Amino acid sequence: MLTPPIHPRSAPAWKRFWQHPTGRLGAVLLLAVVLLTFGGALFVSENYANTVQIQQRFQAPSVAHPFGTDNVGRDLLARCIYGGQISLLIGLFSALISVLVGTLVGLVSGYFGGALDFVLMRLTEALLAIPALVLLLLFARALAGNPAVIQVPGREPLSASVLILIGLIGLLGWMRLARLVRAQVLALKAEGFVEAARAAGAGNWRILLTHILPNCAAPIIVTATLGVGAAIVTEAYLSFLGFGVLPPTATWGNILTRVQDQLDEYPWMWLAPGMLMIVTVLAINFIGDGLRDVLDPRER
Amino acid sequence: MTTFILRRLAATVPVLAIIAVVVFAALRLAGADPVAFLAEEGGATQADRFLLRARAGLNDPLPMQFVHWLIGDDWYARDVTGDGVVDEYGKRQGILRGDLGVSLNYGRPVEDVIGQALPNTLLLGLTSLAVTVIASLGIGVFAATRRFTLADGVITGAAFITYSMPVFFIALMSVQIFAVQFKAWHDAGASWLPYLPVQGMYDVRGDRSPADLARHMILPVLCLSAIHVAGYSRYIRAALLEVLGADYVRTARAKGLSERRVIWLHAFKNAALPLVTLLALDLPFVLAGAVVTETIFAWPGMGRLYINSLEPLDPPVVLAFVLLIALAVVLAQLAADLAYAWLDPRIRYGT
Repeated sequence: MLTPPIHPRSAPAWKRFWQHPTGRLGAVLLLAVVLLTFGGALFVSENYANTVQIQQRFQAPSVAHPFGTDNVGRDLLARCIYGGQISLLIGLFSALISVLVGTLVGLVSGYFGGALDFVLMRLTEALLAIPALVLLLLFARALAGNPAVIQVPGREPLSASVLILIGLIGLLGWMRLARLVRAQVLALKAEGFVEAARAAGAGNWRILLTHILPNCAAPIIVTATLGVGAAIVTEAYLSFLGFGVLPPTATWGNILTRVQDQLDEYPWMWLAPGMLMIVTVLAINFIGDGLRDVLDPRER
Repeated sequence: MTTFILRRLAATVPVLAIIAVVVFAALRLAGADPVAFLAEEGGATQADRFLLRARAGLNDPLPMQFVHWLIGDDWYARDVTGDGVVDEYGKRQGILRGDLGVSLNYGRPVEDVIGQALPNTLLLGLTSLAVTVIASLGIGVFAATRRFTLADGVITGAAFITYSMPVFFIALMSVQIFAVQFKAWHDAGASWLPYLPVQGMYDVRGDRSPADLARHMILPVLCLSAIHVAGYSRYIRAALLEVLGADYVRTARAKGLSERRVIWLHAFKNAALPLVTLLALDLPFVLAGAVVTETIFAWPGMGRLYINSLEPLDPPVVLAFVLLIALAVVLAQLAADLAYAWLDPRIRYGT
């Protein structure tokens, strides 16, 4: 069997990534956020995060409530911990959907060409011609307004809107990757090793998956990484505007939902979740930067 | 060139058609029902509502509703009561014939509603675009000419952090600092310190003067520009550094030109060229980028109109808003291509 050309590199990718200063910083920051949100859950129960104590509303940060309390007296640290889990999961899974769809569309469109390519690329252009937030708001309004909850064993009920938003953010975020992959495929299609594989009797899908796809890995991995951060922010925008994840489930974004009413008086209500979100996105952008330098030195 | 433009315009038709279908589908998913509110008012029976829905065309088959929305239903004989006898013709003309419909929330033609919001958004958007261009050019050139110095490092760090910030965080933070804190200090005795308003375009009891308007614009413009400045200034820095290594820059320096002339006359022009394309592509997003900012600052523009049209749902306004943006994007892309060809003589589009 023929293998794609291998560019010799002196050290394994992860080692070179660790030597990349911003890449390493990003990895450490992200690890800290994951430790806080998933490790913190060992110390605070989810029930506590959802416990309303109306007589303790709007409390400034203190020893009892390190991040303060919100407009119905829930502990913001606990909400940031459990909300962070949901935010990170939304980011992860919607990026995953985006990457799967974007890669598939890019591969098929670039490789097979013809009418299929035309239709897929017009669809891509159409979805790119409307700012993602505008379209997402509309679909979220149409689909995610249902207050249904899903029973998850060992956890508080999860709002079904989480799953719907993961799907929506994922399905409306694949277009740029699809174009990137398509361009890559068009260039690779003419390469000698693809022709050689075909001459050796490999079928279309085998060529696509074992010869072309591995050579598109770099942009896919970088886009996937950055996509996680983008999806977290997108969810936050939707929740902030009131079309995102519904109660009782917390996310960093919907902790901020009611902030507008108390814009000037209680800055801790948005400071902690906002800072956590920024640190996470910054960390992911750093990691993406590092991965790009390590995996794909040409893409600068 | 004309052929190129015409071909590009023709290519936008399928794109706009897909958008129309997607948005139409989304609105149907949202269950837009203009008579739903009648239930609360009381007095409307099931039969009444069925009749109203039928007259509004909502009982027609879905593909037919789409056609009606596109080209109107004034030619369509509708059997409203379902007894097999044609009762009436529709009244709508469809968006392709210039009838955007009537807003459910405002009870006025959509053109009116949008016509009122659009200037406010353009005022905000174009101002922040100007701020973005000036600030990012200045910062980009400043950073590029001081590469790897402390100042460059600080700018790089600040740009990276700003770029990772959601707009609403920038908005909340700037409100906290420039409105809340400044007012607190102002009230505490520092009466020379101005603090900024955070709601609307004018003071409620103000004189509606341009100065009042400008004061109200500062924070929204800051929020709209910050992230773009962070992105563009990095771009300018990189582009300028690349150009500064080019042969003609070396030649210009060898001629004995001052560094200032080399940078601003020779290098800058070429480095800034791609910015034209970037700007043209970002221009339509001015319309939409304001969704968050306008909501926070209660700015009566397109973004806020859009949010308000989602709940309670106002399908004609939502449709018009999305199509307007899509149209702007598509035309801006064409303009970007043409501007680029005009500015860079090496680029020629085939006929």
